[in-house]
Amino acid sequence: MDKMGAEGAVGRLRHSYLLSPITALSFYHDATGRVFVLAAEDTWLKIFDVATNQLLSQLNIFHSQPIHGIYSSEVEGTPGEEAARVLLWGGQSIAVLSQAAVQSLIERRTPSPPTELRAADWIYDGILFSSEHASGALVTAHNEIIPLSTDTNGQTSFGPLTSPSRPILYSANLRLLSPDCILVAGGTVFGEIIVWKYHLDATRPSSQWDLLFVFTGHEGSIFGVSVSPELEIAAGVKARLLASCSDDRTIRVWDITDRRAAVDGDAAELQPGTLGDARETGFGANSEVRAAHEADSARCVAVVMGHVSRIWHVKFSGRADYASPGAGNVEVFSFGEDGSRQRWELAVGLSTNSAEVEGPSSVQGALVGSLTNCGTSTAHSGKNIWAAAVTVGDTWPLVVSGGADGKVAMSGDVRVRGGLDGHQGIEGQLSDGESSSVLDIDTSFSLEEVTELIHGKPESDLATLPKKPVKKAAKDGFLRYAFISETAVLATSVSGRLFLGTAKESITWEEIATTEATRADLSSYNVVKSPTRDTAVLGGASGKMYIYRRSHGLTDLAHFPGKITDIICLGGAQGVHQPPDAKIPETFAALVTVLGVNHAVMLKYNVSTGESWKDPRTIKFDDDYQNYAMTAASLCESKLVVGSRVGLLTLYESSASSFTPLVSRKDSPSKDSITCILLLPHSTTSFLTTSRDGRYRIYTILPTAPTPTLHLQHEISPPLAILEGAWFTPTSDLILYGFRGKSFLVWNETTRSPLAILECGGAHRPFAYISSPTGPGALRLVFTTKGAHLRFFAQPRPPLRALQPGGHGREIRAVAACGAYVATAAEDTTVRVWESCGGDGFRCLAVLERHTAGIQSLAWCGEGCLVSTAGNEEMFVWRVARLETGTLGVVCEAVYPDRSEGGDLRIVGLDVGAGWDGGIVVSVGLSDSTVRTYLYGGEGGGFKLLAKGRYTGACLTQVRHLRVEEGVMWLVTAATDGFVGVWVARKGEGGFELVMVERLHQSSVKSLDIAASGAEGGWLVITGGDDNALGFLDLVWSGEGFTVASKSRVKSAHAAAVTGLRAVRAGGGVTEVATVSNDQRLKVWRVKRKVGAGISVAMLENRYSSVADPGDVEIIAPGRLMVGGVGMEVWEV
Amino acid sequence: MGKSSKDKRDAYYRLAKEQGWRARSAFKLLQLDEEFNLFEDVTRVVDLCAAPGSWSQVLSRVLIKGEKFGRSAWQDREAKFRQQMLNIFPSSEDHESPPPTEPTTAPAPTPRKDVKIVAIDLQPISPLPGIITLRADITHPATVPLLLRALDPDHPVDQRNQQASQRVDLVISDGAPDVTGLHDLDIYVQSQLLFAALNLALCVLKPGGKFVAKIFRGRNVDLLYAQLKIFFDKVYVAKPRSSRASSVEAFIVCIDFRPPEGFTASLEEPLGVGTRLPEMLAARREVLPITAAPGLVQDEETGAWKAVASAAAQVDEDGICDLEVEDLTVDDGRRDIRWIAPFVACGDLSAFDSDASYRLPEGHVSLDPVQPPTAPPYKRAIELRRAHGNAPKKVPVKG
Repeated sequence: MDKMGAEGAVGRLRHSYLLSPITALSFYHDATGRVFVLAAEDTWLKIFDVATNQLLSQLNIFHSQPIHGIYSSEVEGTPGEEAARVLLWGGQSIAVLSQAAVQSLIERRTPSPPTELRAADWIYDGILFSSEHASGALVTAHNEIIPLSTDTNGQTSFGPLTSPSRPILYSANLRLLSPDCILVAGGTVFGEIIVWKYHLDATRPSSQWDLLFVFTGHEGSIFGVSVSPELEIAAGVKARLLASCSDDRTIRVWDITDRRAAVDGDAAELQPGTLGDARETGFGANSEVRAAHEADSARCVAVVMGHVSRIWHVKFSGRADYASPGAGNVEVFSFGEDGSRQRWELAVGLSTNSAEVEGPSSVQGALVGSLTNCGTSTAHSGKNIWAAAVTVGDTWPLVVSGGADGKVAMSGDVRVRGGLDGHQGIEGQLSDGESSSVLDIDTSFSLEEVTELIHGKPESDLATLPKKPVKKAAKDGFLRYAFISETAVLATSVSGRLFLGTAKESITWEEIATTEATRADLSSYNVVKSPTRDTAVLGGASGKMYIYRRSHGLTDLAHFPGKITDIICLGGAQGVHQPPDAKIPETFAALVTVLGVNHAVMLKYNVSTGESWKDPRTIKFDDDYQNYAMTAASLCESKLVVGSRVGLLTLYESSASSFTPLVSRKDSPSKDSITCILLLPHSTTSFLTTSRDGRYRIYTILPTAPTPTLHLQHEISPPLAILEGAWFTPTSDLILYGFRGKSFLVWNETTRSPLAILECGGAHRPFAYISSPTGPGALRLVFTTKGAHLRFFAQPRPPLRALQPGGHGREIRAVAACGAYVATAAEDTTVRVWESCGGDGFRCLAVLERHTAGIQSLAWCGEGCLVSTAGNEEMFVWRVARLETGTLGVVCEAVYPDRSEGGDLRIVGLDVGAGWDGGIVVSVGLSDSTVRTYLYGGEGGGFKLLAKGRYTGACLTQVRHLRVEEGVMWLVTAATDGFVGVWVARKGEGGFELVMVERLHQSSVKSLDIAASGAEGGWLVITGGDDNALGFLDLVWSGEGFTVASKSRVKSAHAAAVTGLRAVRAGGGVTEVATVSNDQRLKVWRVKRKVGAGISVAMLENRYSSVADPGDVEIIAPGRLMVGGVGMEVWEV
Repeated sequence: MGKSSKDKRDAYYRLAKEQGWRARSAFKLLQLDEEFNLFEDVTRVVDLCAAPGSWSQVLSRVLIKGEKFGRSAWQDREAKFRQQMLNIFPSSEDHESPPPTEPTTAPAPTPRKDVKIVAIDLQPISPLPGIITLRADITHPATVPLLLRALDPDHPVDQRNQQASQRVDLVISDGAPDVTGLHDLDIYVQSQLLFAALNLALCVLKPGGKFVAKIFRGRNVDLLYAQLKIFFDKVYVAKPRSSRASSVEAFIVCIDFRPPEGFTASLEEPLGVGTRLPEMLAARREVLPITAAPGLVQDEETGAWKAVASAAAQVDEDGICDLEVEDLTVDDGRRDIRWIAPFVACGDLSAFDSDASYRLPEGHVSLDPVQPPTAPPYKRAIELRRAHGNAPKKVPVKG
């Protein structure tokens, strides 16, 4: 599927994989009403089926120009096969796809690529239509309209350019008003918005354009403009609106209803030429423009601040009557640099006091309105939503966004419609599973409302509060919750009452019958947990425990000598219950802790006999810790693992007579609770813990002698600040839940996608959550809101789904491969580890989040050890291992040992290699011009400084090992001054000595690789410079030192800095080198050692690369090259 | 980033404050001048996209006040010492006398006569001695008559006359857009700024004049180089040491303005959009080949390199042998005319490294910037958010 087409076949290189920013999106409706997403990824057009979330096919549109925009025309009647349906543009390049071509893409057949046309300028927007004068139009970056015509042979040609004024734009939008007239909105770099009409009829007696409005008011460049369809905002009142978004972080809505249409020709103040005079231009100061267009700017209907950074797009959904017909609410979406999409409602109406408003709008009274934010979702990692499209869906609008991370994120849904064979089945299953189990619910209850629903009369009539005169005034509210099935939640109240809420279309409530004594016991304080389906256990302040079973009601369970502090169910529900048809185990067990008692007791219960008993073996706590408090536990065969409030993890051996503590460890640097302990699927020795410190960890119990060891295999910070729990789906996807900021978050860690995000006011509140057995995205949640109310939320599916998963949110700076793994590190401060999957594709195995600065370098030392370096003197050693589950376990094992006082140097250069005594040699080059080499001894062994050296003051950008032995080490470095240096450190002589320094470049050396060359021990050092040049330093090993055989350079090897370089193959006096540059060319060079002296160089390949701002190129497998930068791509050599 | 840590991270930021420059970019112009002698015999200059005015400040101090700035203004003495110690600095380069401690006081300032400097920007520029400042958009056609009138108050108000009667020696532009992060778009907008500067320059530059402008070295920059070569005898791409190596920024230095015969600059038909420039380039190629750096010849048709029949290998002063490349690539049928301008690094090796971290002397007092950065368009958004008690932690500061 990911195979690229014919373009990749030229020469020796084949382009085989691409993950690039999504730069354009459009919805395409076929003749049968099915909906598709067209997405642009670099030069490629991809088509996804919205109903199935599947990629259908892709087509290369332009030779070497990313696609910037896509327009899909509406179906009008039954257009012919050859009718132009899709218009694509990028830079000056234009292409048109016929209906037949799109249809074959839908049917997974590759049509012939369209002809690439070139316009006279960059294009910002385009439309297709059918009119006697033209079949489409484009608007340029200089506010000009280019009409385009397609003849009967499908050949497209351009008409003459027309413009009322040629400022440089950042955004533009076109909309067809009538078969003869196009409305043009242009947002300038300087904060103005120009709205004009273009008349397609070139024979028109007056000019082909009418300037309608010039809007001023924005205080920064206009990054997005969008013209609404004609909206009915009140009975009989139609309006057309323009939305704009800007560098100034505001969204504005303008009334562009052309009410002058009736009095055409009355636009005397806006004659051609008004904008051409000598005048001062620019932000704010353009007083002349402001005066001339004062009346225009009174048409600003609403202004609102949105997003934390720049806003790139704003779109109308086209819906104006969804809330309550006639209310005049208009739906608007915005998309920003912050990676979020926001939904807005514009309440709009006619001003009642039209006398205040001057100008043409006073004919009907001005429009006034306000924008209200109705939700924000972060759809992309890193920064920037570059593309978005909105269309009307069945219940919610369909919204799709594309990010710098290459992800295509979709929300909204469509009803399943008839389609091609094969799709029906998939759609059928999806819709069955989802809709039948969980329905959308979001409702809030006070306890009074619940009792009223049950008893049909106000709470005050029911004297249920314990009759303590002092407490009489205390208002009853909800206290604790537990889901006893995926539909039923048990809620306790402050007064000790128990309620059972069951979710169907809405929530139905019943009160569980209790005695007054029980209510008194459970009042003000209680603990409630669900150990198994349809069952809950409760504990109170007196030490009494109760059990509720749906079939038996509430009964006494046990008694303990003090306040029950916690009940920890072993194997109890974590996020999901067993399916209704699953066999319920005969017995269940729970650990009970009691206030002031330094041990826990295991309580067991037989479901069929109703018997319960306490295990005589107690679980004694670690007395060394104050406030130890057990918070989580799990059985691993004969062993019990217990987690505590202070973050301590303890392994107990269970024997016939006792639980004996074997080993403890604490990995959280803070005193944060372990909230959940969970066995890995199909494992008896490995388990996962979640912690309120925001990390989850995976441990394996190693059968070491004399006592077993708890081995930390994996430690990761997912994007949740507080982890409350975890569970595995039947297909072993890891689901995590907890809090981030003020929201509750359910997160699929395996697919790295959010399943639910709900603003709840923050952590530290009672809650209960349950997923449906049909899928983790269908879930229900109950929590306490302000005023001790209960909020019940349910969703049938995640609000967002990925049509295509993304990668790094910012530029990749380093790529390193080892064995099956490819690691990439980026400016987004994360390291990602990938493996090949499904032919040419890649699957992300882990995202390592610990760096706080952009990552500079990355190196493997065997498959088990990865080292990454960054600014802020960050260097992390990551231990990597394949877990029993098949997933990757990663632990940050060590950090840079020699931080300076300021701690703000950048560690730029890095090399690692096998050392001695089982250690690893790690060399780093820093921005303060020092080079350091350490022997790293593994976990616990730490770093030992072997040698350091200081260069001139120039930042060292590259470090590589030439020879590393215990007694003597040789390094090569390169710096921002364009020099390459060779260093030696001999044992006992203290420090590195710079023994050779050779200039190869005029300015910074941005890339370097070494390849074995010539006789034994010789190296060819190849460098790429900021000066566009390639440098070659041929080093000969004499047995005692290095000498220079030749020093050569290729000037102007690229048109820009050579930022990545890799020796692809070497041998027989020939080295092949791949280079990448900011000029977006991938080149392959053949370097030959000449007989006698010197080298000769030939260029074998010079290809367009889809990766802008590349940081690295790496051999990821024999014959496979990966380029990393803005996105990543793979070439087969 | 705090002021003090920025002092360490960015030597030129610290130097700019110490030497009273409005922005660190002043050193970029000084280092370009050192390499190319930009200010030699220059009295009439146009500075485009001038705010906050550090380049105009250089013009004011060099041309009007007659001050001289040598490399001592940006020399890292410790680095130089270490370079000599490590034998990196060839001794031949080390003949100059030790730098004076107060560089600007050494020779008596010699102000030039008849200096005329016009600075243009969208943002307001604080007044500078002897400099006319205009607030305008250089991409806007309306700016040409405004500039012509500023250069020559007697210039007729006739809009169609876009040729200056009193021409200038040098046009400089340090303008850059606020980059979006979409590289394609940023490079395009930067090239449009450059073309706007070029279109203005073509209206006001005297034959033999110079043109210096910021350029982003990204995709298709070689198309741009080839287009600039039509109008100037020599075109270089220069990177001052004060410009970070990690930035795509560089400067196009065009020397000896020689418009093609019969060419008339016109903002009605500006260069940079449309087909005028590609047609001129194709016409020019017929008569005059563009050659690359010595030893390399680029094919005019494809931009590919031609192996020049084995000329003797050239060895430069650093002992580097410049190689000719044999082109074995498969022609992909693209016929764009491309040319790579020779690269020149400006500011010698003893200059501070803009990418290195420096230790500050003990008791270092971090100075306030000479001028606060230009107010960003989102200033009001930050103020509003702060008023609501959730200000972002970091306010981005333009370097």
